[in-house]
Amino acid sequence: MITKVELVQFLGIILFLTQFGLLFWIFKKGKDLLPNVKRMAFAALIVCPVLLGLLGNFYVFDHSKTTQSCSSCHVMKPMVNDMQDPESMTLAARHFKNNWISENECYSCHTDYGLNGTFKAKLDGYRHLMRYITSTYEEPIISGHAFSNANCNSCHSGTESFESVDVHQPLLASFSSNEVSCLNCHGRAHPTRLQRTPGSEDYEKLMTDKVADEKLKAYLQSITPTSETKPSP
Amino acid sequence: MKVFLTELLFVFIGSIICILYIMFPTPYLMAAFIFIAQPLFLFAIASTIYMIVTDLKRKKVL
Amino acid sequence: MARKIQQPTDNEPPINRRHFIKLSGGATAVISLGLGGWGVTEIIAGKDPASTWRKSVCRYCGAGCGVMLGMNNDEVVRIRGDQEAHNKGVICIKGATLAQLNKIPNRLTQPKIKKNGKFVDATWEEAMSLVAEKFSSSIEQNGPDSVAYYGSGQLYIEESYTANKLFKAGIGTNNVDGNPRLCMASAAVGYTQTFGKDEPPGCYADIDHANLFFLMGANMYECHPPLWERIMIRKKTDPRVKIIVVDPRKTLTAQRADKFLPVVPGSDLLLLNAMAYEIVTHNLVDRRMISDHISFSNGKEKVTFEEYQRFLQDYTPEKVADRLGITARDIREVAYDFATSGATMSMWTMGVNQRTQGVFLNNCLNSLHLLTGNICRPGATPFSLTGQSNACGGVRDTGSLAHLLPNGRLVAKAEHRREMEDIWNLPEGKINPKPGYDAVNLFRAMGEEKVKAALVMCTNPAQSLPNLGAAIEAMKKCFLVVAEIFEDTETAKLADVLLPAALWIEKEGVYGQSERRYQLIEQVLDPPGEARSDLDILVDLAERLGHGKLISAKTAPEVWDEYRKISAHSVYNFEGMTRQRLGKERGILWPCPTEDHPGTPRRYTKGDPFVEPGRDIQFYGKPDNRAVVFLRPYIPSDEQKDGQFPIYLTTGRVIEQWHTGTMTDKIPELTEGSGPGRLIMNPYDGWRLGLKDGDPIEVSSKFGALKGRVVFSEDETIGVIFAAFYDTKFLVNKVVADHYDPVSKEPEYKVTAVKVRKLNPEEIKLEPL
Repeated sequence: MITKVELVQFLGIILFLTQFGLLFWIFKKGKDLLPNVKRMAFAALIVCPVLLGLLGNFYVFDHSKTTQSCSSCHVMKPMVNDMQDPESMTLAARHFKNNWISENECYSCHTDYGLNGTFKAKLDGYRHLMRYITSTYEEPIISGHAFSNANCNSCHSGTESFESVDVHQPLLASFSSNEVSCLNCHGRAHPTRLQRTPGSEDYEKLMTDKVADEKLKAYLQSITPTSETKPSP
Repeated sequence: MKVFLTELLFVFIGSIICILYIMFPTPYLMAAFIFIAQPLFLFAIASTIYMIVTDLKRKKVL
Repeated sequence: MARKIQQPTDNEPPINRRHFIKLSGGATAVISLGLGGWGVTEIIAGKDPASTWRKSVCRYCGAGCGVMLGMNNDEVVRIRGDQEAHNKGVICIKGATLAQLNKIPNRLTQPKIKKNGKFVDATWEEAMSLVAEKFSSSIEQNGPDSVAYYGSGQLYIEESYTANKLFKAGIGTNNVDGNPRLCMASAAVGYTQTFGKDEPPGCYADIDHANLFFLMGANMYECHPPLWERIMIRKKTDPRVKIIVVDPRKTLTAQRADKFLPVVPGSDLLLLNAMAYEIVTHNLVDRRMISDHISFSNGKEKVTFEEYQRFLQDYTPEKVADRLGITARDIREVAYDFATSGATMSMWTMGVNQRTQGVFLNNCLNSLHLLTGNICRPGATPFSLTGQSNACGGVRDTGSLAHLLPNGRLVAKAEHRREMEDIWNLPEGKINPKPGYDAVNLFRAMGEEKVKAALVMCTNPAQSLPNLGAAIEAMKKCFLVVAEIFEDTETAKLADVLLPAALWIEKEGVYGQSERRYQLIEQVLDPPGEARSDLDILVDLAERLGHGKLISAKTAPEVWDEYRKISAHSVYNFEGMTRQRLGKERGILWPCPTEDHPGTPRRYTKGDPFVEPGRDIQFYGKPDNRAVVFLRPYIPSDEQKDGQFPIYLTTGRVIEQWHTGTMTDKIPELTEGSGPGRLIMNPYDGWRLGLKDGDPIEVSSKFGALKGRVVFSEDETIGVIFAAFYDTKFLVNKVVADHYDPVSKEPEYKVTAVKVRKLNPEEIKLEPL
């Protein structure tokens, strides 16, 4: 079974090789604006870049949905590691542990960064990226704007668990204007700023990768019968 | 000399960034794709279109 | 975008210079595009509606949640839970609407004096000199006990401390009481009797470690929502966690419990004793705890464990099940779970405290924890929840009740009086040895004209007292000075002098919530009009009554420093909580004797500075270091339903409204959520009484009557009517009995025998729901 990523990479290589061939041809023969040079230029300098650009952008939106992509920036590690920590009580960890979010965990809640999200959120994502690679940020990072309730609504809206809580009703307008945040009553989603401050008590633990996996591995090992403990047939 | 030298060069660099990003996604390559490769493509495309269109106009094809 | 370039022609070979220009131009264009793109993202980046965020504490309940105030141009525009605070960012619907609190229109902004039944605007000078004159003349003519102070668990610590000092050490009367008498006096006495010292041994963080929650008489979902959320978070982190709820009503809390025991109102002491019986009989006790850390007492003298066992023989599950209205099997299951969970945390509030057996119930809850060793460990603790934001810190700890002196001292104990006289530099014998009037008797004394002038601050007794009709009549006879934020509260209407008070972040002070955590609230806004902080009013009154020298600390930081240093003379010691520290940290739990002490989450065990090194557990409140398990018999309440009054009325709160609704009733989202006050009963009772859902009815007891709308709900237990007390047009406390616990003097709001009469539509005009 071919994955989406593999398909994109395959198409990317094909396109890149084609592109490379065409560029080479123009480089060799494109001395004048002859009709055949123009046709080749159209293919190599217009069609191929457009296709590559589209493919790259699709990849930006699609691949960056993965939790792995988020955690490739080290400032995001505390969020991801905390989410995967079976002992953590944050909102993200509870969603993860109870399997309410099963894949692309970050994007399950930060939906506005995704393909269907808002343009503004995407631009904000680009801004974070530039800040990150140019090191024009300080740890712990602080969100400059409030988390939009629309993210929560994308799953919870209209569900029994939301509708059955009477106190939600008088606040509906405040929810849609984001004046009252869902997080007000349902807790912090990620480790706090203090915890994420380098040098804090929890910082090392939060920066250690795959807390969940190691614990899980140890646990699985502990319950897997070994040759000694296996009952003889 | 080559007519499309600049465009060639830009598209070439852009394509390399693009394929590197697709194959080995990191924040740095992602930023390079968005903020370098895309402008390179954009410039090359615009410049090529401009050159072709003015040439066709000059030759009264358009 | 692309530069205009000269067209290459067939006979004109392209030159390097042209390529160079194009290349450099292109590179410039590309760089500007990249940087420009970044610039655009920076320009349109989502902006926070608040320009600065400041930490504070919620104004409302005893959970004492940390909140962040989103400020913009000296205005609170957003409220968020404080992620760094103990509540981990969780607040409730009331807290979420706090941004509107200080913007509520029609605040009281000027002192007013009642002349010929009408309020007339006055200056502070006029109002305060009248107050001082009335107090002075009353003291002169009828002695200091003819004046009184009725305070609040919502004033800041500095304010309650100053009032207490002014009246007990200055004026010389112990008539200092307040609304905490109505909500947690039984818990305070219960802890003091069992452990020798008031205030819970555990903390909120125990919720994160408990395996079993035993909730009794506490509707946490509605009354302490952030703590309930914390329980749910614990449960969602570990699904094996179990919640047991004991309540006569199927509250929103009970609906989410794993096990719900709907006991008959007033009977639950039977349950606790039956659980103790099961635990003792089946040897589920912690032997080491019993041999090393517990003594047994019948209230008069020490008894043996065997005598305790014999005492419990009257409370076998079979003997009590019928009276409780549950099965013996339920009792056994709960007792077994309680003793074997590994870490049991009990939490209770008014359902336990507001009872004629309130102290006994508190004793028994503490006893279950002691017997099973569910104490002094993470997740294992008996925890009494407080209703008000500062009832613990402000009133219990400062000793602002008629029988108390600061930091757990008792008026009745000569050595305690002597200690305080020393600390306050008073002549020996200055503090009156007779405890003052407790809340219920204070208002009775007003009715009998024994108390002639009273200062009421930050509370609304004309809506919150039991047997309210009599209390209102009594207040009319007294010269009543009321410091209030609105002119239209029930108590303000009865005032002779109305003083405009600053509200919440319009003044500075320290709040101490349920878990012994002291948190600073800084002043962020100016009070409206001429309103002043309650502390300023007290300092002014002290000056005018000639006690200016005694009340030498005149600002909040000064009072805090004085009180902080006084605490060092007790095991409450929080001398290490400097104002500077409180400004930086998210509250600290006392004891905290030094500035580098982190505070004490769990008392009587390692980490508590008063536990001797090398000891695991030490109940140092008692001379023999042993906590007391009391033999507490079940004594039925005076309120028993009979042929004439066949139904029990019980009262409580709803999630959207806080207490008498003075503040929350003026916030649209909250009033929309709660709707008007109403009487709620089981449809079966409705059918028996020939009522239809929505009918107008009158509920009456021996004390008073109330007309209102009946609403059916299957969540109410048969034989019980429920009403909340927030609605000013629906004063349910007029019906409520004012029997009280003989020791704690806390009235029994939860059990009143009533009868119901259907009204004709012309007898009452109902508001739409």
